[in-house]
Amino acid sequence: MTTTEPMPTEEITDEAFDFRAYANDPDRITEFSAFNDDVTTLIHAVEDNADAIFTWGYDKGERARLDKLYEKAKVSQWNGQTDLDWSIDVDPYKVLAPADPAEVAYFAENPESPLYKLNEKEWQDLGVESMNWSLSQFMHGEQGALLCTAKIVETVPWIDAKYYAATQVVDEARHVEVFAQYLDQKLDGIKYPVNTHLGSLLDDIITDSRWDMTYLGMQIMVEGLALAAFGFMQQTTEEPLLKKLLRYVMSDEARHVAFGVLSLQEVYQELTVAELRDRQEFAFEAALQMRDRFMRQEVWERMGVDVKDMVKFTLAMPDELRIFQKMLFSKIVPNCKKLGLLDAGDGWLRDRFTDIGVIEFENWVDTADEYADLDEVAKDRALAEG
Amino acid sequence: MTILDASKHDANQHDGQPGANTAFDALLDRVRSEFDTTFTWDYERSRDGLNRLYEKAKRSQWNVSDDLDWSIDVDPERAVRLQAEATGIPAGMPARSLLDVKGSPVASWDDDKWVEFAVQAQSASLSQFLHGEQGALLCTARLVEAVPWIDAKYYAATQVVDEARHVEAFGRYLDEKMPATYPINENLKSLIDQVLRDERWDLVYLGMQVVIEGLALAAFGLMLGTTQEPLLKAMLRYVMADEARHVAFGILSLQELYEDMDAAEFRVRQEFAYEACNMMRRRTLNSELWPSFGISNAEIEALLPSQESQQRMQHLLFSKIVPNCKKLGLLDLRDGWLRERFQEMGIIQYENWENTAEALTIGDAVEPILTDAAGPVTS
Repeated sequence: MTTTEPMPTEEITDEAFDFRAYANDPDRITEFSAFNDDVTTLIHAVEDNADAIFTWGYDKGERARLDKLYEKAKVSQWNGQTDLDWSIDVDPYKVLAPADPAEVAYFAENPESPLYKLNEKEWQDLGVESMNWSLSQFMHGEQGALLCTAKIVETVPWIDAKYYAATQVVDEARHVEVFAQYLDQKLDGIKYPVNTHLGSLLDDIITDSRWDMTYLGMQIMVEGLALAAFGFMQQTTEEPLLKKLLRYVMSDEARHVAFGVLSLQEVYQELTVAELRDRQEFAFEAALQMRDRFMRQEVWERMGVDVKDMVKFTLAMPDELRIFQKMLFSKIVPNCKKLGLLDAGDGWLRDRFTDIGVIEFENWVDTADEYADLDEVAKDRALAEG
Repeated sequence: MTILDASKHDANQHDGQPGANTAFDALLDRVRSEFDTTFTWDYERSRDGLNRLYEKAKRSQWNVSDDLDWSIDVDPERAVRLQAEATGIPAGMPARSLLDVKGSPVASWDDDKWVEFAVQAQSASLSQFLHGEQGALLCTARLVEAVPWIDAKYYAATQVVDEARHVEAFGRYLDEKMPATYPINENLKSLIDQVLRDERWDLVYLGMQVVIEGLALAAFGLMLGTTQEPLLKAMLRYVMADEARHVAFGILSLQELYEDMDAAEFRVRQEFAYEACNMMRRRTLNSELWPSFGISNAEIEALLPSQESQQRMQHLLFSKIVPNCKKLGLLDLRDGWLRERFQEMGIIQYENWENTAEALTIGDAVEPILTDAAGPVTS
């Protein structure tokens, strides 16, 4: 896999470097080669050099908030086979989340738009493809989460974190299972390989041997974005099976993000400004890759639309239409703030989130405070018990 | 100095980070690892046996906090005496057989001393279970990362949470009910380290799922069969129900892999199995226990291995491993090289043990699980 050049932060001062232009450079975004050169490749190996760590401090509950999260996770397990009604018939053309009309108008009615000439049928197909693409990316991302969480079990030095992370491993397996089954049984199979930006971020997270980077990359950035994206789809789709599947997955995800916030708060308190800066840069790069992945370049390739034109046109979208793209950061930004990453040093990450237009979420509720409210599984069970 | 140091290699530090912290070294133990984490893009659940095992594991979860009665008071000394009464085996066996050995360092010990020793020996055994379960937790997480089959990743994920639960259960029992926790036995640690350092994921299966878990299943069974303490009994029964699935997982996965393995590679597995069994045999001498009684391990190593009761106990511990090695084809490969080694170790008699009534007395549950996994998939 080829990736673009890293940000030249070492050589050039922040003042001299145009982060906004860097973030919105269509060449940088499209330069990523396809993740799977050979689509028939079934295995993707990533070198992992992190130490496995035994702890001889077995004191459960030493970290009370992680302990509470572990106990909650134990009683919030659900079964992908028996807790969802797989007998529900799904018509792919009807599961579509109704897109924001203003956003559709931007792409459909503007003669400059690469989608200007699409006919009714092609718009419908685009909707079906996009849904398949989105759920495929969720599924691949969940596999990444499965591997990263297993890695956290191995590398984190706290017993309470190992316990909690173990429950997350089985959560992630369940998520891969349900997304794969939904695609396979309801949406005509898995049609899209992992997105090049998402795949590259997953590789970066796994390759880094610092255990807190696995947390930051996976628990805060990837899961934080997933939580927002699932929420968006869950609110807009009318399809009952998908709606419930997403509600249940989100109940788990909220715990996962909370786990990241609670663990990293402790770690970051002890870091130097230079070490925090490393984390800020990692968070920004990850944020960009997460945003870029929603350019859906695999869909444009399949639909025969020029990818770079599409990326350019998407980047040129007026700010007031960018509701979905911005909402994706509604969890990441407040969580970064809670971790002290926004304002560490000279507020470098605040500046970057301002550059990409998502700083407005900084005072939204953070996930460490809201995860219990998102436990839809517990709500359903309380209802069933009357 | 920050907590992040805990995760670093001594020789391979990240730029801009300070060196290792000795304060953590006392509490943490790093195992340097180099392996490939594997994504699979084939999401089809095509391995029926593993698939059934996964579905079974989902329904067999239990909760240490709720499913065990932690209000039960445990008097470890009384438990030892009750056990001796109920089983007719005096406290402190098999080490107690050294009482009859002329000039042995324990020749003067009276029954009270043996009870005291038995309490510590029980703590030591439970401590090894605890550490072994943590090793299993790390190894199973490794399997999730490295194994290339989606069905195996799913199943291994349930095992990760099983192992966390076992660490939790043994940790809590030792903390609340027993007088001491002992450090990990060096032979056990060395085997787990070797498995975690290896880049070949199937050796994780062989070392952890077949050898270490196989031995644990037998050891849990022995303890379950003798202890009269109700909380420990309940805990061991629950843990063993999980362990039986774990061993079955190892066998199902390795059977498939070994089918296509070339002879030279297969030989390496045979030798590894032997070496792992040897390490596990040495661990039964309880080297972490004797120094606290003022007795050197050298003295024990010179005397205890030749005692018949020690040998019998040691042999029983291999009653799960030998039949499973046979099932995997490891016994008879290369003119029965491993069969000969197991003969030398005096444990070959277990090769067909799983089908006997005797096996059931130590709570065997692997066979029904394997039979079940081989059956047709029902939804």
